[in-house]
Amino acid sequence: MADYRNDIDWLTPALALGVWAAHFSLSWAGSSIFPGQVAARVVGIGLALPALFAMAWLWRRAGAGPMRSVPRLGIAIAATGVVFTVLPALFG
Amino acid sequence: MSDAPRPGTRDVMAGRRSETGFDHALYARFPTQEPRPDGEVEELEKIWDNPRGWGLLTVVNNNYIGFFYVATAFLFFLLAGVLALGMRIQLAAPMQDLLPQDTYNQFFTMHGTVMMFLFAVPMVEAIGVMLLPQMLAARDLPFPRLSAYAFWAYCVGGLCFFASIFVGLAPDGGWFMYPPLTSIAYSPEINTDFWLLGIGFIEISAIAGAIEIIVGVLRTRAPGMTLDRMPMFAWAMLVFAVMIVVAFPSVILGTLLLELERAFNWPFFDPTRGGDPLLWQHLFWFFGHPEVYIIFLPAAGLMSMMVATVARTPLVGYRLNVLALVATGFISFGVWAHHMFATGMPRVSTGYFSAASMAVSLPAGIQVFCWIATLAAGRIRWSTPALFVVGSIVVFVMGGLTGVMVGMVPFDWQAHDSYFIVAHLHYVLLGGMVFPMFAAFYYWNGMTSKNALSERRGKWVFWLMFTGLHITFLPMHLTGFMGMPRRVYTYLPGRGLEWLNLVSTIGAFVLAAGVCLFLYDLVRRFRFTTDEDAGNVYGGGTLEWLPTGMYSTRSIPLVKSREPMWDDPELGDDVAAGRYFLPNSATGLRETLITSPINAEPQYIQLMPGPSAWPVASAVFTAGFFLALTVQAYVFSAVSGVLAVACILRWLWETDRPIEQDHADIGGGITVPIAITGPSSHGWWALNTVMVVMGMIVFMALFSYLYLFGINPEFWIAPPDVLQTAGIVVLLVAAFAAAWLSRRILAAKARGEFPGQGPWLMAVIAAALLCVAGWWDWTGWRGAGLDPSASGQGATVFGLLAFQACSAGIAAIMALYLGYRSGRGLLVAPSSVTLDIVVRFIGYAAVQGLVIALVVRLFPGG
Repeated sequence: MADYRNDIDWLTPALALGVWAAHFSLSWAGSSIFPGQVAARVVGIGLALPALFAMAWLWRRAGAGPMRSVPRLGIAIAATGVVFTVLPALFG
Repeated sequence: MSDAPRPGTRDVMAGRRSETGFDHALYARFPTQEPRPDGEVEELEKIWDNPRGWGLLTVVNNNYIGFFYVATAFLFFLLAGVLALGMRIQLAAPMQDLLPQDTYNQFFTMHGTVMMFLFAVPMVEAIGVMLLPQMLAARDLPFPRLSAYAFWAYCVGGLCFFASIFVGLAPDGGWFMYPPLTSIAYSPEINTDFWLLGIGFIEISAIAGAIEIIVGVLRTRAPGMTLDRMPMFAWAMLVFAVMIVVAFPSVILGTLLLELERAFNWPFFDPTRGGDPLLWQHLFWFFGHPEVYIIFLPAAGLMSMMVATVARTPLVGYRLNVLALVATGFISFGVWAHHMFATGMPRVSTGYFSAASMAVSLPAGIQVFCWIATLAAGRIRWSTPALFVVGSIVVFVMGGLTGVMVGMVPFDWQAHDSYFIVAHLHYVLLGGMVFPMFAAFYYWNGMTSKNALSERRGKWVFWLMFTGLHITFLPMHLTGFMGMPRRVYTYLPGRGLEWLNLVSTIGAFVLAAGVCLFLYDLVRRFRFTTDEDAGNVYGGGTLEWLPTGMYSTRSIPLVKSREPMWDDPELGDDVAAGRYFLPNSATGLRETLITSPINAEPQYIQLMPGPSAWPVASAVFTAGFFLALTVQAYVFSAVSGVLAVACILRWLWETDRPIEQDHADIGGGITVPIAITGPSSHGWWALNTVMVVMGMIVFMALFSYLYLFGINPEFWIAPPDVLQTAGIVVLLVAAFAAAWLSRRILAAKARGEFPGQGPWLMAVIAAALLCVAGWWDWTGWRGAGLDPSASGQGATVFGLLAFQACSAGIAAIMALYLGYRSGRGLLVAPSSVTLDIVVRFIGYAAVQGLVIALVVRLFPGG
């Protein structure tokens, strides 16, 4: 008999991308509120740490279930986005 | 469900919880073996029959509305293409005077505007309306009259908008309408108003379509079609529609604010009074860049389906593709300001948007590699759709690569506003949307035409378009590098631009020749039909290729795989013989099966409305309302607005009529309820989507308020006193409580009992409290000395209050409508869809009023 349940965990990648969106929005807000100041960079870098911790937690969460490659790829894309975002705060 | 276990019981076979309590073991009853009674198909045909002749104006069925929609969107593609040819003739040689400067400005503005707003988004929405019900094996989308309204609003509004070019009143400020160029000081004529009101109105139509698509994809899928088995196009349309409800409110708000500035001198974008022209750019591009993906993603969904068929193998990386769609949807909202690199944003900010522009190429790359892998894994049949699919990949990748280039800030500074950008965006849009659309025309033509289109001519069409595209746009990269800015009506000789421009013009005509050949083929071969179609010419494996009539499929199949037509050769015969769900009309009315959002388990039967003149009438009056505003015919506009509301209420009157029957057999001895309320109902999902749209408008308006506060805090004054604020909060909380009480009174009565005057009276009281709170807030700010025309603070605060006043006004109309229905005996216990929607809307409006009242007081000046 065919299985009629959805096996893929779509919530985890959606949460990971949500973390990216929050990190991006707050970093941009920081850079707009403190234009040209060190505080702008501090906000971007400081927020990257909890964002990456959240990604790590989601990674572990995805690892517990079956069919984990898709959620993990979603986390990888979102984490790459966070790393990309923090680069201008570090070197820009 | 008589045979189903209680909600929450476990499926013994799999040991996992069912989504709704439906027992999956019941699926083993399908296909049923008992013969069906005679006359069921004839009854379905009679129920789903449509009027002919002028009566076609009243049809709401997706087969017709979808076709009208596609045809109208294609007409706008042709019209905008003609404008493009006019521009290319003008630029074929230097210093020509075929198009005077003003006319040229109107041409490029209308070309961009029509292509983006009247062709691209409506076309993908139209294809969705046409294909989705069949792809999901639903009888129709869940709100057919809303589809009809969306189409007619778009058709009437779009044609009137386009007609402005024939009288020299077309918009001329570019398709993104930057102030101060478009402010009243520099654009005093009504050309800009046509754009602002026309586009704002057409976007409302797009949002209506998006609501239909979200609810349709999530709630009307055939049983067994879990999220993991949805056709890629359905996934793409779901992401597309969600993006619309998030992105489009921003441009609706922007157009509203600019129109308020032009009409009433409210200085949202005037820096001398605490406004900022860059606010417009943020609002516009928060919509405008996701718009590119809004256009691309549905086309990518079509590509993913066609690529599997042309390669004759399942799509490689189905789940990766879905993930890529979702990731693109998210990340595309972080790239809007890469259109603003040249505006002098803080350096770190530009870096963030540059980084996001790089990141968004990752999911797009995943999709492209999945398509290439699928083509490599299968055996390609080089049909016309195959050529367009492969050509699309090539063109889109070329456009994507130049997109990554302009995502880098230093490069963008060099190429900004040059013809390089024109080349880039046309590669992306032609490769990402137009070529997949032509592939789809050939591929799905067999669903709506008696004859297949000509393969031989189709290949000519492809090669002409493919060659013409490169001849036109490849030289533009060089034209841009050589310094030719976009949007200039001519150029000086002797700067090396003549040959490149001439080649581009020749290419444009080659491209147009391909489109003309396609039109010729359409005239020769296309014959619209709803039942004697050419069929599955290319051998697709999804449900839209089941035998259908106006009622879609005879019975709604049980879906066991992603390509059920490939995996079960008997499926078509079994479906046509009525061996699956809902093989007849269980209630004697138009109906479809509503299923759960994740696992698509049967939940209830939705009764669907039939043909009606009210959607088209309300669309015409809505268009009249906006267009009359444009030409400042305020009385006519007001009358049109009242008539539009009256027509909408009249159309809704018939859609919530209680019937005696409360359960029905859907086949296999399974019974489900009819027309329920609450979180499981499709109406609940639709209202939630409307709330997201309204919430996004408020969110972006509050962003505007905070943005202007950050830029020009010296213009801010102190808010009204705390006591007044407390009073407003009390009124809004009371409105929320009254709305809640209205539902409780109805729910407390016995089934079928008339609940008395309590429910509707409480709803009216709640709406009245909303109005009083809004009035008090408005007068309070006026009393505090805030003037909407004096500062950015005044403009944004009164803009927000005006929006809240509109919400309260709508709530009042809804509450009175509820009262009228109650008076006619149409409000019976224990639940009513109308009451459910009215009180939830009032509750939402109360919360919205609270947020507005409090947030604007948190950032006081003075």
